[in-house]
Order: sequence, then C-alpha cells, then structure tokens
Amino acid sequence: MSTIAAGQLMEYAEKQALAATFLKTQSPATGSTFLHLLTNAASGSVDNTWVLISSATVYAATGYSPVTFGPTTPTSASPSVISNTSTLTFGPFTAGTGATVIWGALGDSATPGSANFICAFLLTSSRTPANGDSLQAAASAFTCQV
Amino acid sequence: MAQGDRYVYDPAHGAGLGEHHAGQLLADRPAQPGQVADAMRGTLAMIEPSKAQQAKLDAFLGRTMADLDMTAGTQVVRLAQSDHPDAAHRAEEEQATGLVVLGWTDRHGDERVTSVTPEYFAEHFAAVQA
Repeated sequence: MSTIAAGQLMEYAEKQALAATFLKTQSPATGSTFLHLLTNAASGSVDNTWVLISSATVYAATGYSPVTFGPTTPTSASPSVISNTSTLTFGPFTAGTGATVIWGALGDSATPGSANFICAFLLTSSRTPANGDSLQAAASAFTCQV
Repeated sequence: MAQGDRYVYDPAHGAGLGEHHAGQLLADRPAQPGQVADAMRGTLAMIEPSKAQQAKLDAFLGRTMADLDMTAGTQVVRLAQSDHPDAAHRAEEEQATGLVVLGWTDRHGDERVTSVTPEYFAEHFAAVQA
C-alpha cells in the first residue's frame, strides 16, 4: 500500500498526465469532474494506487451528492497548480450523519463505483456535519499540483 | 431545461430542508469552523486586502447553516431528467443511491446539488408547470 498524507494526483491521473504530455496518447475529452467526500483517516488510509473512488470510504449521508469541481486554468508557475474556481457547498445533509469528513476526492463520475480517482485533497479541518448542516469550501480551497 | 424537470420546494411545514431535518433553527451554527476562519483571515492579511476584499471574506465567514439551507420556495431541477451536461452522470447516481438528485442555486448564487429521498421529494416538491 502506497499511502498519501496530503492532496496529490493519484496513480491513474499521473499516468494520464504523462501519457498526454509525452504525446503517447490523446487526453480524454473534456467533461465534468466531481468532488466526492471521504471519511478515511488522514494518515495511512488512502492508497494512491486506487483506481476507483469506491476503493475509499465515501461519505453517505442523505442530502450529500458530489459536486461539480469546476477547475481553474492551471497557473503559469512551477509547480503549476489547479484548483476549484468557485465556492463548493455540499448538502444540506438530512439523515445518516455522524461520520467525519476528512478528504475530498476528485473523480470523473458522480458515482464512486465508476469514478476514476484523479486526485485526493486532505481537508484543512475535518468536519462532522449534523443533520441540517451544509459543508462549504471557498474558491481555491482545493489545490492540486503535479 | 427539459420540460418536466423543474420543481419547487413547497413543504407544508414551511421549514428549510436542513432546518426541518435538524428539528431546530440553524442560525446559530457557523458555516465555517473557527480554525478555517482563522486560516483564511491569516492568508488574506498577508496580501494587504482592500476593504472590498475584506468585506467579501467577512461575509463568507459570517455565513451560518441557515444561510446555506434550501428554503421554501426554492426552484430545483431534477438533473437526471434535464438537459444539463451532467444528466447522464446524475441518472447513474440516482440509480446507485436510490435518491433523487436536485440542482439548485442558493441565496448566495452558488450552484448546489442535493439529494433527497424519493418519499420526501414526492411529498414536498411540486412540479413547475411549463
């Protein structure tokens, strides 16, 4: 198990990026990416070789639904970074709360079982929403670099 | 939007979606924990913010869970039945979770996606006539 301790590209995305930039293969068509929430522990429990988001423990309260990420244009700097353009808000959660949200996970589908795991983001502050709560992140709160 | 995909949250109890399920008012629950608010204020302070930037951050950090709730009268779209670019993704999500997935815009202008049970949807959301 090759675990990660902070937000970074997963193996699936690293391979895609390398293949595309070395002109080995064509990049996938443009489309939406979705930010999922995970309850995996902050340390030693997210494996960067996981291919699908369903390999992780996905938050499952009623009211929750993964949100469209809406990435910025990568910055002109090295390392170049990409982040969420707008405020992202989940919920309100209405039942089945109690679990603690620790990670954000970017995928190319809204369904964990078919979402390729692109990037994992460790939250600055873990959150345990109660019934009625929403969970909000500011623009640029989720930042990823190669 | 496709015809038949639009609804309005119209609960007989009159409460917000979150408020109803919390069983209490949400105005005393801050939307951001203190640790996050302190970090954001510290980051902004480093760039000597303008008054407008400071006011925008203060407004963001001053939000409560009530500000983020879906209030009665909110118009929603059942994304899986719409012509939204993510409709196929949301249809797959509905099938996987058994929940109804709704897109809406909150009072701050932020695009939201929220799931509700089919029972709650049938009881508290009314179709908007085209």
